[in-house]
Amino acid sequence: MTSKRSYNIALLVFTLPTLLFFTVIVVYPILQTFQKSFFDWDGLTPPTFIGFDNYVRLLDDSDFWVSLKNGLIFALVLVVYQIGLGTLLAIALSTKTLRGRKFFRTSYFVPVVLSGVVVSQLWIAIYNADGGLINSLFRLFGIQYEQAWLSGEHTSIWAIAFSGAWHHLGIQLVLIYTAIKSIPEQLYEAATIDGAPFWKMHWKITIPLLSETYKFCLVIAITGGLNAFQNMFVMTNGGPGNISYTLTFMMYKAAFRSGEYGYGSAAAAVLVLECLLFTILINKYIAREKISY
Amino acid sequence: MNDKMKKPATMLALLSMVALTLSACGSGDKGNNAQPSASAPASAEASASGSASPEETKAPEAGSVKLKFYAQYSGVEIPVYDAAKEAMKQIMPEVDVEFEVAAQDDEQKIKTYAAAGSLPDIFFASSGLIETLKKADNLYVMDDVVKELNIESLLNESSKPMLWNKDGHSYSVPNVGQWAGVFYYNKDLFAEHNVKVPTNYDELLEAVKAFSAKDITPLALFAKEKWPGVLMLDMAVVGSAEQGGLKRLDNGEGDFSEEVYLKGAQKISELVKAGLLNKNAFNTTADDAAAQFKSGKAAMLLNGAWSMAFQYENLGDKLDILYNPLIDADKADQVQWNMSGGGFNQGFAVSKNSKNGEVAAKYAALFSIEFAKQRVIQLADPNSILVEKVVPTNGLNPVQQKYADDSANFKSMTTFAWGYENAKYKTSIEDNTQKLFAGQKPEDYIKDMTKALENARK
Repeated sequence: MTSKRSYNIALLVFTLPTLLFFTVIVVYPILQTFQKSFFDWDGLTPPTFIGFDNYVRLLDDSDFWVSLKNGLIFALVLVVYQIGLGTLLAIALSTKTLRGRKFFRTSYFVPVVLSGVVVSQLWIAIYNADGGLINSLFRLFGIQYEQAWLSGEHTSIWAIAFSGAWHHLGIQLVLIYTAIKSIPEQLYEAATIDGAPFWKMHWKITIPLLSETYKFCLVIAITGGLNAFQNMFVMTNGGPGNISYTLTFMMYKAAFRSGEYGYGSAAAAVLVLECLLFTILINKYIAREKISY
Repeated sequence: MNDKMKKPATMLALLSMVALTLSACGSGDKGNNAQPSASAPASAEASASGSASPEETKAPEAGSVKLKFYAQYSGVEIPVYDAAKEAMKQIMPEVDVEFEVAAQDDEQKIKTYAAAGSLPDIFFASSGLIETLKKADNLYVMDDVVKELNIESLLNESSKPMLWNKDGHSYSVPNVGQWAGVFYYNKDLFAEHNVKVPTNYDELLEAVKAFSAKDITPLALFAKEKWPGVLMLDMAVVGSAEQGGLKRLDNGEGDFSEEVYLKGAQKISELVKAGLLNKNAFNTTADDAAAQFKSGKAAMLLNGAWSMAFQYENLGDKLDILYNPLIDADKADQVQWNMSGGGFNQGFAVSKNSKNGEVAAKYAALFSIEFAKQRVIQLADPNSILVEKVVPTNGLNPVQQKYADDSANFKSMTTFAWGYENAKYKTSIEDNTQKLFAGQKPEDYIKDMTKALENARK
């Protein structure tokens, strides 16, 4: 009994500082954001309570719907590219017969260590409508498909999301690769003895056993996509107009450019709820059973 | 040192550190700020009244009043600030200013300072910022200082209104003259391709079509920034005989249902369809646009007149300027001197919470005048705000000379987008106008802006 009590006290002592820190840095600002979303406030003068007016206004604001859609597109691109391609690359890198595995493993991680601004500038040059790499390649092969990638209404957010996905692919790759390496070798040996082909072996063993890792990867990718800001801020400044807005960018515009902190807080509150919803859904439907070897 | 001695020695060292820290904290108030804040205004008053005690009349020590100055202390303006600071040492030797470089962040840092009650003593304030801080009661009212120093008499007639806010008070002293937005054009390129230099909208449309057909970008618009598009739309509106342009709507007059605004949007839309911009316009920065213009890839460039020295450096005698090629042909005589751009009330302002408020206000007012003088001397601004005739060190280039001569004819000015006072209107028009340039239908633009304006005026 005493031992259990001591254990609980020790647990409290070790976790309390972090919990307090987390509360001050994260929980309190989030609660304050929700509170401020019910006010008309310019950040300087005393706020005026306006109930749900900011939320009603959001529903009638084209910026909001564009931002919501763009956040989902961004998240989709991150999920497909980072988790899809990340899985394929991780499987390839964990294959012992592949030569130069160490080199590739390091190479795929290099973009992660670059700053977001550098990566964005790199992709601005690649997407440049007037002599950028992509349009030049189209021209080289005689394909009439040159685009203003970052200015087009239907291309801008996809192009920006792809650059973001490329930038952080390495993180997801490392997570998946590490998870693959932790799968017991005997499972593959047994499958090999049974004559399972390479891809079927991974389809039946690797992918199902990665479900807990996927849960974490999905949370990172989806919340990362919904929260995206830096890429569009550097690459398009949200434009032309609002076509590359996300909720974070909308919050920035409302609070910092228009001086509408209450309205910006309402956009931020929706973003928090959206991220929370996806996190709950992922936790509910992915990897419901704990895997242990 | 043995282990027994280590513990007391450490405790002693810690105690002495704490004592030192506390004593430093305690003396802080008597140091840099508090003492001069009491003495400096007192000495100013004393010298004015002549009835102060000998102790009070004692001249303040040079550099004894430290002021924090938040300003665009960067790029070509560094020598201007430095020279003005040097000149101020002769006028107010007791003041020593420390510049803090202003962040290019939509004025967020300065607003955060205001929210935290830690505004710098002196700071550069745009008209939008003045309105925001005025509402929050953060600005020092400079009326008395302006009158005492007779600042108005130092400003020329066109600049005097910039000293006064619409509420009749003075919150900042202007530091630079009004600039018009202008089209820079490459004379040789027009001559080489036999294109008429446009004097009205119809001719501009023809020029755009002609250059576009020859694979030359008609206009290098750095549309990654949002204000140049707003400036061009403003020119289109002003060119249709609405001299208040888009600023009028910012002032709370009129709305987008008026024909002139639809007509302005239609002009832009038609020009865009005719190939006005290159595909990369929305990712083009000011430097990119200048490079395109310099290399002859673009025939025209839209910017403020402040860029004349830089553009002339790039193009030399090939450079010339147009004031507004978007005017309606039938109204050319009537509107040719109605300018877009300029028109904003901005300058150096003072925090109401400054410990040295009066000294800071005097310093800011006089510094503004010195700064304006140095802008002319060092950067050859052809639009001095001063009565005093100041001669630029290197003289004016032909384009600046033309602007200086023509500026006497300017009848009115609107404002650049950053001069709008209603922040909601500003952000809406910046975003929506960018969409118009990206190909949005003029009718949809008007619809969106009507809604945005209604919201901005709530």
